[in-house]
Amino acid sequence: MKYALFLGCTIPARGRNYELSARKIAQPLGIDIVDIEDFICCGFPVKTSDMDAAMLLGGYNLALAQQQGLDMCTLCSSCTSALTETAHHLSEDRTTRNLINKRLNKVGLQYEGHVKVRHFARVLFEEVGEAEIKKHIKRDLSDLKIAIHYGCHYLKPSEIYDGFDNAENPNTLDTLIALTGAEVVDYPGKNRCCGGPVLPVHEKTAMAVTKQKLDDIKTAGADAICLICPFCSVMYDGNQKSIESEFETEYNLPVLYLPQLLGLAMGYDRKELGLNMNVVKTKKLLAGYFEKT
Amino acid sequence: MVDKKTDFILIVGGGIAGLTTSRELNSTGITALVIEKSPFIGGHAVNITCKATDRCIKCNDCLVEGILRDISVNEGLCIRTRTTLTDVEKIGNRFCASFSSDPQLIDPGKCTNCGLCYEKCPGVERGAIIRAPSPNIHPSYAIDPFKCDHCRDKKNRICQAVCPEHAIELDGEKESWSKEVDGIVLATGYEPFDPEEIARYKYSGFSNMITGMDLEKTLRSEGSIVRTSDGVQPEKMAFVQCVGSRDSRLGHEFCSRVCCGYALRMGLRLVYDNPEIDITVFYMDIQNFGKDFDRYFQEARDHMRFLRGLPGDFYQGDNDSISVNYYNEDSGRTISEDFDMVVLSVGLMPGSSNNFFAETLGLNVNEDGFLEIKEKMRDKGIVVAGTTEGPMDVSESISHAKRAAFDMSKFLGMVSK
Amino acid sequence: MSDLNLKSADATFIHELTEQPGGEKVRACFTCKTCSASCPITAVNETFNPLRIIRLALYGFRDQVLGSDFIWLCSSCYSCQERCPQGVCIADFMTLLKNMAVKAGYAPTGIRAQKNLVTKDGRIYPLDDFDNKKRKKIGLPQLPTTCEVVKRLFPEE
Repeated sequence: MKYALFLGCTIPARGRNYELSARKIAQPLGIDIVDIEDFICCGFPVKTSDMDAAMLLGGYNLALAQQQGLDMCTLCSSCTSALTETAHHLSEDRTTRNLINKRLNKVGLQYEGHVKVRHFARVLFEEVGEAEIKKHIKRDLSDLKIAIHYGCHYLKPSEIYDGFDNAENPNTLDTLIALTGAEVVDYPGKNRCCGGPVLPVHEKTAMAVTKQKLDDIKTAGADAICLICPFCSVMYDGNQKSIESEFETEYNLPVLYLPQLLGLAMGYDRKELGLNMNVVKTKKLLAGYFEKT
Repeated sequence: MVDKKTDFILIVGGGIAGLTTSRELNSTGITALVIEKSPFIGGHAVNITCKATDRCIKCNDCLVEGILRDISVNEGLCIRTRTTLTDVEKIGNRFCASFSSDPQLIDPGKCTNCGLCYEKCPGVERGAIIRAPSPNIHPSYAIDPFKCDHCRDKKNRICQAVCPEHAIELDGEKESWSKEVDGIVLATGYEPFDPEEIARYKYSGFSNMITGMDLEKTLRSEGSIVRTSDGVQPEKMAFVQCVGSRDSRLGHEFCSRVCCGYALRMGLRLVYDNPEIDITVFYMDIQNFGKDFDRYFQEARDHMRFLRGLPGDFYQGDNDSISVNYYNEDSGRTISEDFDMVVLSVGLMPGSSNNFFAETLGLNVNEDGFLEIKEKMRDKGIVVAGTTEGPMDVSESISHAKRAAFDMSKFLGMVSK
Repeated sequence: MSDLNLKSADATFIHELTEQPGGEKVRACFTCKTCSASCPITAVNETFNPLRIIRLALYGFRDQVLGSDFIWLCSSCYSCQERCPQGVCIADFMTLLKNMAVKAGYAPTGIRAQKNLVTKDGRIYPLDDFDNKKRKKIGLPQLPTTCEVVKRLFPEE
C-alpha cells in the first residue's frame, strides 16, 4: 500500500493533530506514505465560483500523483470529493480531459486518467482491514461513548464513489471505531452536514446547523465526537466555544480525529497523536488511559 | 373452430386476475388449469380489507370473496397450489409447459377444514401450519413442514395423527411434471415495493412503521390497528404516499394508481372507528383514479390533514414514536413532528417472474418492468391478466382479466374474430 | 421575494441552465419537496429553500436568483441530490447558479477572496516560515511557502 498523501490547505494550517496522528498510525498499519511537495489546493474552495478552475486544480494534482505512479490518499473529506469528482470526470469525459490537458501542458504535465483517490478512512477499511488493525490494538476504549460524524463529502455525491459504503446508512467508520472497543452512540441526524461550508457566507446559519448536531449528540449521551474532516473539526472543535456562548449553552464535547482515536487504542501517547492541539480539552476524558500505561 | 374438448388453458397465478380468467373461461366451456406458487389462492387481493364506514365506500375489495366463493363451488376448475412454471416450449400450435410442485401435504379432497391440525400443532407460532386469509379458500390450512421440528425429524407428527379424515400426508416428494396446453394466461401479478430500498425511511428500524399492505392485512384480520411496540391504539398517524413509485432513482417512474385510493379509504375508516384519531397524509399530488374518488377525497380532507410534500428524515422519537422531518410552509423551515405510527403507502412493482416470461415466451418487458403483450402474441395464444401488465386496483384487475378471458376465447375460435 | 412579476421573467434563462453541467435535469422537478425537507440549512434558515430556488429558476427569474443572498447558503452537502426522486442534481445545480452569479458579478466578497487566494498562492491558507517551524517541532515535513505554478496555470488572473 503506497500512496501519495494529499494534505490540502486546511490540514497543514489548522489540522496538524490530524496529520500527525494519521502519519503515526499509517506506518505500523503498512500504509506507505509519499509526500509530494508540489501539491496545491484540491479545487474544492473555488468550485463555487469557477467549476473549470476547480477541475484544473484537481487535474494538476492528479497529474502530479500520476507522474510518480501513485494513487492518492486524502485526509480531508472535501479534498476527497473534489479530487474524486475531477478524477471521475476526467476518466469518463475525453473532451474535458483534452481541455484540461491543454492547460496542464503549460506546466509540462499531462493526465491520462487512472489515479485513484482514497480517503484515509477508506484505505483503513478497505485495504488495511479490520483483522490487521485489530492486531495493533493495545488499549481497550470500552469506557468511551463516541458519536460519529461522517460528514458529507466522504461518501457524497454517491455516484462518484463506485459503491463504497452507503451514504444514507453508512457503517465504515462505525466498524473501524468498534475495533477500539468504544461504544458507538447513535443519534438523530447522524448523516447531517456540519454547516462548515456556509461559515464564510453566513456565520450564524453555519453555527445554527452545528448547534443542532451538538444538541443531538449531547442528548444521545456521547462523551466525544469522532470525525474525519478538518472542515468539520473547525465547526465542532474550533467553534464549539463560540457556539456555546452564542447560544448560551454548554457542551464540553471533545472532538477526536479518527486516527487519534485509533492511535489511542494502538497505545500511542497524547503528544504522539497531537491530542494537546485539540481545542476542546481531551485531558479529562482520556486521563484514565494515560495513567494506566 | 377448434374442437372444444381439446381446449386446455394454463393460467399462471392464482390471484384475483388468474381466478377471474379461469372462472370466465370455464363459463364458456374452456378448461383451465390455475397454478399458484404459494399454498393459497387469492393472491394479494385476499389480504385487502373492506373499507366501509357506516356505508359501503366502494373500494371493491370484497369482490375477491365473491370470486373465491364461485371458485369453491365450481367443480370444473382445476387449481394446483405450491406449483411453479419452470419452462415452456412451443410444439406446433400448442405449448408444452413444465412445472415443479411441492407436495400439497393436505389432500383437498379429504380435508373438511375442521381445524384440528391447527389447534394441536405445537409449531403454529413459527408458522408450521397457517390459516388461509379467507374462509372461502379450501383447504383452509397449509402446512410448512420445515417450520415444525416434529415434522422434520419424522417423529410424533401430531397433525397427521389427529386428522380425522386422514387428509394429511407429510412425506410427499417434490414433483416435476409437464402438460400440453393450447394457450397461456400470465397472471402472476405484482410485488409490493420493499421500503428497505429507500434507506432514509429506516423501515426495519422502527417497530411502529408499517406499509399500507401491512395495514390492509391487519385491519382485515384484526379489525383495528395497534402499535407493534406496545399494543396501544395509535392516536396520531401519518401516511407517506408514493413510497417506491414515481421515483426515477429507483427506475420506477410509473404511478402505482392504487396507493392514494387505499390510503385515503383506510384513513377514513380509521377516523370512523376512532373519531379522535389524528391523521396526516404526506403527498406529492393526489391521483384520483377510480369511480367517485373525488367525493372520498373531499370527505378525507374534512377529517385528515393533507400536507403537500414528502418527508426527509425519520428519527426515533420519544415513547417509540417516529419523528418525521418535513418542510413546513408556515415557518418556511424543515420541522420535526412525532407520530405514533407511520404508514408507508408502498407501490405496486413488477412481478419477479416477468423477465423469465419475457425470455421463455419471447415477450416484451416495458421500461417499468411490466409485461407488454402485443396483438401478435395474443394471436399465438398468450395473454396477460391483471397487474402483470401494470398497476391496477382490484376492480380494474377483474375487468382486465375478463378481457383476457375474452381474448383467449377469441384465440380458441370460441367467439368470432 | 413577495413582489415577483412574471413580466420580469427571462424565458431564455432555463435554456441556458439546462445546457450546463448541473442543470441538465432541472426541468424534471415535480415539486415533491424532498429536497427542502432534507436540507440542513432550511432547517435553521427559512431564506434558503432548494425547491423555491429551482422553481424561481424555472420561471426565469434570472436576476432574482443570481443576485440573491440565498443561493450562497447552500452547503453542498448533497442531501437533496442523493434523494431527489427525479434525479435532479440539485447540489450541482446550486453550484452552477453560483458560478453564473460570479460571472454576472454578484459574488460575495468571501467567495471572491477564496478564488483569489488559490489562484495567487495555490492555497486558501498560505503557509509561512512560522507554520514550518511549528511543523518541524512535531516532526512533520516542511512545506513550500510560495507557489509559482498557479501563475502559469491561471495566467489570466
